[in-house]
Amino acid sequence: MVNNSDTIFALSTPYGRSGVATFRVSGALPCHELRSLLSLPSLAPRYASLCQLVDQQGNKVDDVVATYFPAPNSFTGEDVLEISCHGSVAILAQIEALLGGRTGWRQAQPGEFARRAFRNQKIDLAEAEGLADVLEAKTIRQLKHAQRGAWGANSAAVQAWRQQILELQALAEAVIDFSEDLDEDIDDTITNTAKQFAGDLDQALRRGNSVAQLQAGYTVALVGAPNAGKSSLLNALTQTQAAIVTDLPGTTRDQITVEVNIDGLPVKLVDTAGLRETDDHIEQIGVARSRQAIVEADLVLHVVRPGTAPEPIDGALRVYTHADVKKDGVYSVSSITGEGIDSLLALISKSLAADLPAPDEVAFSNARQQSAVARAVHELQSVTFGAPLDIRAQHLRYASQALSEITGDIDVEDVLDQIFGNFCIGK
Amino acid sequence: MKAKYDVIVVGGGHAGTEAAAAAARIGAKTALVTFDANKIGEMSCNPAVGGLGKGHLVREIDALDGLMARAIDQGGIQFRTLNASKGPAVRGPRAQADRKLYRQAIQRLIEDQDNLIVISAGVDDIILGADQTLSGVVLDTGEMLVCSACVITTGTFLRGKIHIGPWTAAAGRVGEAPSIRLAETLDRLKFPLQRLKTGTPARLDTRTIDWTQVEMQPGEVPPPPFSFMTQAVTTPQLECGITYTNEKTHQLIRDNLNRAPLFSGQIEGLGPRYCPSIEDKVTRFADKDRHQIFLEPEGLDDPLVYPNGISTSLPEDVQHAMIATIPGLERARIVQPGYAVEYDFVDPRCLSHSLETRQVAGLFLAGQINGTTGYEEAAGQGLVAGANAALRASGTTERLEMDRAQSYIGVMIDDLVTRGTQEPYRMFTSRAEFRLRLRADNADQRLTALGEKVGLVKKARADTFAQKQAEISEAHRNARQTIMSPNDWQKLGFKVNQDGRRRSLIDMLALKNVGLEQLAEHFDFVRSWSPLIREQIEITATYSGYLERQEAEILAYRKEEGLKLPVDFDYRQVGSLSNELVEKLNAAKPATLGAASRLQGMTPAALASLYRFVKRGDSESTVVAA
Repeated sequence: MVNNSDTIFALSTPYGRSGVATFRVSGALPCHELRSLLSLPSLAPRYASLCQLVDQQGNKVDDVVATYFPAPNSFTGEDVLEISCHGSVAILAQIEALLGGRTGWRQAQPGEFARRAFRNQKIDLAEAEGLADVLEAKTIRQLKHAQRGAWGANSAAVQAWRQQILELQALAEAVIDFSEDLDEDIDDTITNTAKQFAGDLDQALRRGNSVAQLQAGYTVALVGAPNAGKSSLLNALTQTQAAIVTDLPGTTRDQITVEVNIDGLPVKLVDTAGLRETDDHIEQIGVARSRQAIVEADLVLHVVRPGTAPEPIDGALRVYTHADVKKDGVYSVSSITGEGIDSLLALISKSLAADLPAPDEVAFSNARQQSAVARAVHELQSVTFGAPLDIRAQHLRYASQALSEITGDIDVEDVLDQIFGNFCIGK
Repeated sequence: MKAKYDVIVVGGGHAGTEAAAAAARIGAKTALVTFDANKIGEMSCNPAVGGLGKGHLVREIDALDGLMARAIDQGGIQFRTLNASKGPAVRGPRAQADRKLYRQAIQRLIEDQDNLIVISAGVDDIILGADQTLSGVVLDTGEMLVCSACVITTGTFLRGKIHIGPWTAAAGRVGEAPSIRLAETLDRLKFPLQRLKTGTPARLDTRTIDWTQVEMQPGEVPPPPFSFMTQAVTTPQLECGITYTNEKTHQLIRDNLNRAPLFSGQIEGLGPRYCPSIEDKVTRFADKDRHQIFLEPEGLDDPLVYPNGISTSLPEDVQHAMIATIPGLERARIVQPGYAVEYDFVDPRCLSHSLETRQVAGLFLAGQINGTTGYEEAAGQGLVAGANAALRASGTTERLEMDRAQSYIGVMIDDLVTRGTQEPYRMFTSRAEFRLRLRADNADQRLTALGEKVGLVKKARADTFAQKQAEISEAHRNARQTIMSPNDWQKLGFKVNQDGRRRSLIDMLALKNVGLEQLAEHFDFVRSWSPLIREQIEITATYSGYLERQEAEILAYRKEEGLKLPVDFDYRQVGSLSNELVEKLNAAKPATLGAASRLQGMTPAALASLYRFVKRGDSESTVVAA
């Protein structure tokens, strides 16, 4: 079990040879202790000081730049010290030993700084999850969508939702508990508002599905008859020689996967065995895998040699090869001259990203958030016309409970505050 | 020789009378000590009982054989069911009362109660024996009474102070002295005292009101009684009037705000937001062009009228001018001006769920002294405190403690002792998590057996209840056992989805287009059902699916309630809690994980940490769940 009162430290930059490396320390860090560690007469908050890091015997370890962020104005909400040193592997090892040797100090576990920030309410759960996505991002598009969460754009939407569900709950509860003061017919208002709200949430959920897919990465399969030019096309699209190319049909017997960045999208291109009846046992397995790839891929490129008439593959995009010899169909490319390759890449990108929301649109891609929103949508849709108000109010309560996993709890006192703030109650 | 009692109840209001009667029903030798025996059962505020949430409380008190429902059935002069069309769970019975008839009914019930005597006196002090345990009380006559347990129900009398404009007086009600000595005693025992405020409107003379200028609102016919024991209400019934303030009224109030004690800083106690004074309403809701006033007659032969909706502490001359601007009241005579009253209350977080104080064993508190408002809230606590005082006196460790899934009384007491209160606490149905289950119609099914178990419920009620239960069970059995194919239902003329699913009579009733009338045409047993049985069957059908879901939630809730948290424990040890929550937990010392979850600002993440911590049991003082 992690002790949460320990002082934790970690190398925040990658381990290895570098110009500058930075350590981060978080915990209860009294100023005077740090002054002796850094051999400094004084330590001003949030100023970078050039100083000397010294070991317990007073020997200089390195010239460093240190910045002190006293609680609560720091990333974790605790006292934080950042030490930038020279990025020598030997120095890093020495500093790790030095910091780890101090009483009550230990190496941080993965994600522990963010957990402390969350605990001290410096970031909310959605921001913490967004931050994790930011660190995971490999392409620009992944980054942009992760920043939506990390920079609080989702959190702002969440706050707006919290207010919306609170107002709806307050309206229902006010008409129940203060019917002598509020003699209004709100039956239609409650159900209409709930349905509208459910629609908004559902959209954010759908947008989130496409973002989740972006974060997981896409798979594009190249399938077609033997010798159609799939492997050459894979090499052309990835600008590699990953696939072996010969004139012999059935050269590719196992799948070859190459990860590429297409216009900011992380894409796995899969070259597959040519589809044909065969007695070769190994090739049979390859063909079976090709059929599986068709099912699993986000996009299937049906690679066709001009002048042949293969069976159509459902939902696949038909691409004709050998454009340098003979042009055919709408999308015609040449792996030798490179003709049509750029347009094909653009087409792949456009097709995969078709459902991606704009980075400033609210979208929930995290599985935990999606499950909460989905339950809330279901409850809001159950607020039906004609049902007794107490039952409709019950569904609103359930919706509010589900959303509270993202927005934070709505307490009965919040509902009452809302009622007393907005309705003139009391006869 | 000192007189000796099992239980002494201080105060003869709605908490005190229920407490004394409950203690005596259980068999404790009980004394009810109050300043003036003629004021027992007095309604100090508006002449009405019940309403939303409050009506639920009254039915629960009745299910435990308490007084309030039976008294209002004898003293009620207009009965209505609020929210009749908004669903069975939120229907609230309410009645206007004839003050005198109500008071007389309560006094008769107290007189007729075995084991109970009334002593007219004030109580100045309590006597402590060994280990801070209560051993008796000292009367203002100097006499000492020995007892095993004591329930204090002093309402607004603890250092009560009345305000009418700049004029103030020390009083619990107009013309009645406050309890100062008892407040000093509580101070000495280090009870956390805070201050609250409440108010009333002016009382008017009915003969000076132009009733032709106001709307009239009749009650229901026949009047629906409160008590499960009442066959029919026989008191003559009256109508109430409705009129409204207007722009002239509001201007007058705005012009005189500088003389309002509420705004001048003269009143320090916090008033209830749901029962604001008219000066508060006019200030906070400036865009409303009128506010409703209910003109409630105080009795059949009483000339007083209670104008509900314009409680105020403005100076008398402003009250006169203000009343004169209201249609129907132009020439109305004020018999007694409205006033605000400030009083001390004890932070109820010093109580256990049995309403016994942590400071003094054997001392129980109930009613407004615990920060609540309302007759019904007071009566509910009185009943619980009185029952537990009697149980304590009898030497048993058994207590009457209800949880949030059992009753509104349980919700109220849990709210009070775990969260405390910043304003006078009133019951709302929104406070009940298990609202669909906690209904006014099934209070007896929820509580009467419990009442019998602790000795609160006497034979007459137990028999009536058993008979009703048997009838309901039989009706349910018949309804559930009547199962037919869609084809057979269709042959009887019911429109059913031909999906092959066999449906019971309850399933059919849950369909939107099927009603009991239609079913009664085909089934003799349905025709034989009394209105009461019909209601129960209809509710079962309406909530089909919902009640089952709520039962599952109740299981989860009770599991959390079963997870005891250590009492003497520093929450800093848990580690993964924010400082703010550590402070809250250290102040509240919740008894269970469930109670911790209801603290304000508690987060799911923090609860998960607490849960892991308790389950792991890595602190010596941690008690792991039973």
